[in-house]
Amino acid sequence: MNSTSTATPVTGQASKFKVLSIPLIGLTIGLAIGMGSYLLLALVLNNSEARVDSNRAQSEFSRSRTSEHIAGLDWIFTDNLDHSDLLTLSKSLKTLSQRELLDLIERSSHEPRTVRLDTIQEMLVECVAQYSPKEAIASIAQFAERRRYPLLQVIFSHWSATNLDEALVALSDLPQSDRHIAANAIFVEISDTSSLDIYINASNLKVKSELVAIRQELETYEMLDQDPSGAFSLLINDEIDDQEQIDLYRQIAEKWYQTDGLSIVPLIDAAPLGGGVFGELFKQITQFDREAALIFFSSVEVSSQRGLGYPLVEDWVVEDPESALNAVKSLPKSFFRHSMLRSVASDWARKSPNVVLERLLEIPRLYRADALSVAAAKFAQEDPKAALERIEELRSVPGTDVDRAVESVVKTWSTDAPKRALDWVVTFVKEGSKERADLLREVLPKYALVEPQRAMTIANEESKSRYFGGRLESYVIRSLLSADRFDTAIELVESARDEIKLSEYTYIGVELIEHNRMEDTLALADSIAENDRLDYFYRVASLALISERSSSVLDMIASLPTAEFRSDVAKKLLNERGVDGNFTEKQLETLRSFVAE
Amino acid sequence: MIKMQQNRLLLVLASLVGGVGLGVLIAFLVFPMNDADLGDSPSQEVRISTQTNNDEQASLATVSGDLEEIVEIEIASDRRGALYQVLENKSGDQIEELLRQSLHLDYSKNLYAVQRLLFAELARVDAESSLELVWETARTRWATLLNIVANHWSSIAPEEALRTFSSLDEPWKSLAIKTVFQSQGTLSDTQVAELADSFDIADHLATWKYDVRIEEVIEEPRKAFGLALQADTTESHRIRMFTHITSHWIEREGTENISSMLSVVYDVFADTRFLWTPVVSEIAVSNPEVVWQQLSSMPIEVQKLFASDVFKQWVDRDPVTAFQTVTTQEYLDANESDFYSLLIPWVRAVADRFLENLELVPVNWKNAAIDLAVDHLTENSPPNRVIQLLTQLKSMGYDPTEAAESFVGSWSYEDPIAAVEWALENLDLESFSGRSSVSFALGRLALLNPDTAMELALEQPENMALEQGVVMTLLRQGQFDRALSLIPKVRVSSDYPFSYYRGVNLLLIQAGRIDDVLALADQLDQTEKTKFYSSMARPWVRFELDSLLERLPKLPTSETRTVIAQSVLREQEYYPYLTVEEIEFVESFISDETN
Repeated sequence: MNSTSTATPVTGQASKFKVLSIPLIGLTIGLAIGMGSYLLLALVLNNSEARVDSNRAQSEFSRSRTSEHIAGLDWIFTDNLDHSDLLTLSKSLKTLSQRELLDLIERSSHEPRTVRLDTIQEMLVECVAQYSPKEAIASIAQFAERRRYPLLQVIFSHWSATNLDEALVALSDLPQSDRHIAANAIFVEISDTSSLDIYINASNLKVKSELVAIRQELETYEMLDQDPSGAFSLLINDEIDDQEQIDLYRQIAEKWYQTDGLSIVPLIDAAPLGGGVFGELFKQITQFDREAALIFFSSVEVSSQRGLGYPLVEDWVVEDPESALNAVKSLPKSFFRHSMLRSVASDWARKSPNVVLERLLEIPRLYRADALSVAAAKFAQEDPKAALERIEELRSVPGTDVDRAVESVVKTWSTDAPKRALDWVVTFVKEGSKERADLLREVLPKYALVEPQRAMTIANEESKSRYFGGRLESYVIRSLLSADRFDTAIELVESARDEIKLSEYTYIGVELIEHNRMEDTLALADSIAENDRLDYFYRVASLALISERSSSVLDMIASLPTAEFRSDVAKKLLNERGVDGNFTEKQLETLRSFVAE
Repeated sequence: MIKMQQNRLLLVLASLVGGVGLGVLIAFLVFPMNDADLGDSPSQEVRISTQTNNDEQASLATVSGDLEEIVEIEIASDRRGALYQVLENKSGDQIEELLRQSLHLDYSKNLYAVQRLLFAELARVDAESSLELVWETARTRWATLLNIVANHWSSIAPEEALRTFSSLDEPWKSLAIKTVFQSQGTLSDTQVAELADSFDIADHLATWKYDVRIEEVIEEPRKAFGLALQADTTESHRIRMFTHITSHWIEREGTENISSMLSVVYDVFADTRFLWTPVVSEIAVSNPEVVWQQLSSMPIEVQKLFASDVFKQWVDRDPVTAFQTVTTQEYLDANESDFYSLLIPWVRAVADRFLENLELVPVNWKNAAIDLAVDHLTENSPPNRVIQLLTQLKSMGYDPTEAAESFVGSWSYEDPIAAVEWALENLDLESFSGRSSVSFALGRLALLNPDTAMELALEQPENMALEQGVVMTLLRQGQFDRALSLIPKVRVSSDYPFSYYRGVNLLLIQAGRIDDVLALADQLDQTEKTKFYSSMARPWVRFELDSLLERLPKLPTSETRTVIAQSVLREQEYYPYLTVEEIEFVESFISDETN
């Protein structure tokens, strides 16, 4: 009983405990379930957000939220944001989903430019890059280069810090120009180029060339300040296109000039630089002090003097012709000074023909003819007759050589209107004069392409002039040949004077061979006096050999009508000095086989 | 009993429900399900001190410590936020000081990223200081940082930015100016053009405008190439435009239809002088063999134009296959005249093992290949290696004469004595080209050591006239006194004195040294004197007319005056130069003496 009585309160206590423990346990379990469910739900929602593109329902949810959030951020596209605004934005961006950020980036690309728009875009892209660098790259694909490059730097700078291997792989998917920017962003902090070699060896071809270029850039920077000439040699001897390294070359030129002055110009000139790089460096260096450059170039080796002087003067005249002329005039008398004066006069006339004509007396007498000739050609482009009248007025000025200027006008004129140019020459220039001969030499070849028959007639008549050496008809024939008008040339050659006929037939024959018309070369012989034919074939063969047509020559000899002809032509060729070098051994054997025993 | 059990069950359920509710409530309070939890970006608490403007030094000291902490923040956006917080209400000087301090911090992974932000922020309040600090960073970063400064400066004060950048050195000047042109949004086109003129950067503006126009039509390569061709710009910029257009074209079109691309290039570039080279090279570079195959099926004129550029890319990659393809009889028969342009890159590609590869060269091209190989080796190796190659070639039965002569010329720039000595022993001095090579090398030696050069020249037969070459080299180089001192030693051959006299006269008169010329004439016998005077007329009348007119009457003999006057008038007939009065004056000396 005692035990019962004692047991009762115990039981009662136990019962009370049980009664109390049930809600406590239930509450605890409930608490655990409740919190667990809550956190599970949060986790599920979280994962769904992360896979926003693959979950349509979630995307809709996200979109509805996006518009709300984005609408609340209109202020970021206004002017006058200060640091506290940026700080606020920085905090706000954390509350946005990836979708919302991407939408904001898209929107930013259409917003009018504000002074902080670039910063805002960087912040947005930076946030997306933290989620997904690939999405970040895709989000800026349509941006102009100006904006895309800094944003690519932001992305790849972040990406390489978090996952270098992945960033390197991603490089090969970029367009070439973007790849260079991204690769630079990755490796800009590398100080030890040997670590770069590891990546170079492991990368594919596209990326490898970028990394090799970056390694070269880093090595150049290492040397540049202490040894600019060494850095220059490094670039010269690499396999990378010089044009792609133009900025490096420019830095070297800058530094090297500071240490060694103008003496670096001939060294750079002698280097095998491609792609117009020398021109850019030359301009960069000489612009510091053109006068000093001119004086220096007058002292370098004579073989380099003019090559350096001409481009200097050419640039100078464009900017300030008077000071260029004065600087050249003040050089010590020399061949270099003479060449540069000539260059200044011509370049100035090309740039400002009217000014030069007005100031012709300021140009030393020896160079006036050059200036006038160039200016006349410029005027002739506008109105040749007016140009001729204008230059005629200068005949009394010493050194102008107006006849030469007339020739220059007629040359230009005959390109545009050969008939009118020829008519002017025939009508106005004194018959039998040297001037007439010079002008006909210019105009007749061009006119021959318009009216070949009349051109040949005039050539026949004018060839009597002592200044032609009797070869004006040749100009007509050669002009037709150079325009591939072989048949016309063949028609007209018969009307050439006898003393030049054979040589003209020869040139036609060679041209026909070069244009794979061997049969016509052979047929042409029928028009030549019989006792000249051997000479004709021999001359054709000789000239064709100069054009490296050894096979054709053998074919031609093989096709000659008689064995005697074949033998005589072959014999003459074999007697020619140095003919061996034009034939292979086998061809020489064939040639010898034509010679009769 | 059952009721009791039901009560307990109810109690359990009620407790559970209550527990769940409470659990959710507590969890919600403790772990609020906000947006931040939905993203990957973990927020990181950053301790950022506040500063007071009253105690700037103390403030900066705190900031410095904070900067190091900011650099340590792993999440870029958090780092940025923290930095903006630090920068709040900071003056330009304070930001500059911060940036300076950051430049002296030890390397840390994110330091450069923080510096970039600081450069941007400083550029907005004190661009000039920001620009100055760019040059205090490592060179590798100048371009990026300058771009940041230019970008931000241009949005605040583009005119000032342009003014400052126009005085920078290259390449920074071009880079920064381009960024300003691109980024500024406040200046009109006219204003930009006026500023470009006043800051002497009009050519930069023109270059940028071309780039913009190219970008506008870049999807139409034909149009874009046409635009680049017509652009009034530098060769280098034109090549950059071509390369840019081409690489964009390839990115877009791939390399599926190379022949249609090459057709477009042919249409656009056929009439230019080799301007297609960067374009064709860019097309060929990724897979030259395929490009070659496609080119081979195109019209012959297209093949002729582009073959060497494609081949060059191919030979760099696979010289053996490339060369085998172009040395088939069929290919040679059709393209022999263009073969030299293919030989050049091939020889360079196999220069290290040239002799082993020489047998692959068609017979009538072997000499050309030898010349190219020797030239290449001369440029890239010491002379003894070239000599070794020449010896080997000779022993193999080849004739490397031309190559050897060319080698002497190049070698004489480095070591003229060695070159001359070797040439005298090894070249054929009977041939014109052999003598010319020795003469050239002696000329090089004369510039360094004229006496030795003269000595060596005089040791050779008179008909080689090597000493004349020595004198002429010195005169051309303006070493007149040295040349004049050696002239008496020259053995003037009576067969060919004219070219020598003409050269001496021309170079001395161009330099205004008339007295020296006349003194030289005095040393000659009467026959030679006439030849000499006759050859001095042309340069005298052209380069020193005043001196001629002044001294002609004073020349010692009437014969001399007549010779010179006649030569001057003969010159006048072909190259009119004198006025009527001057002609009459010169003529008077002829009539005087003949009457």
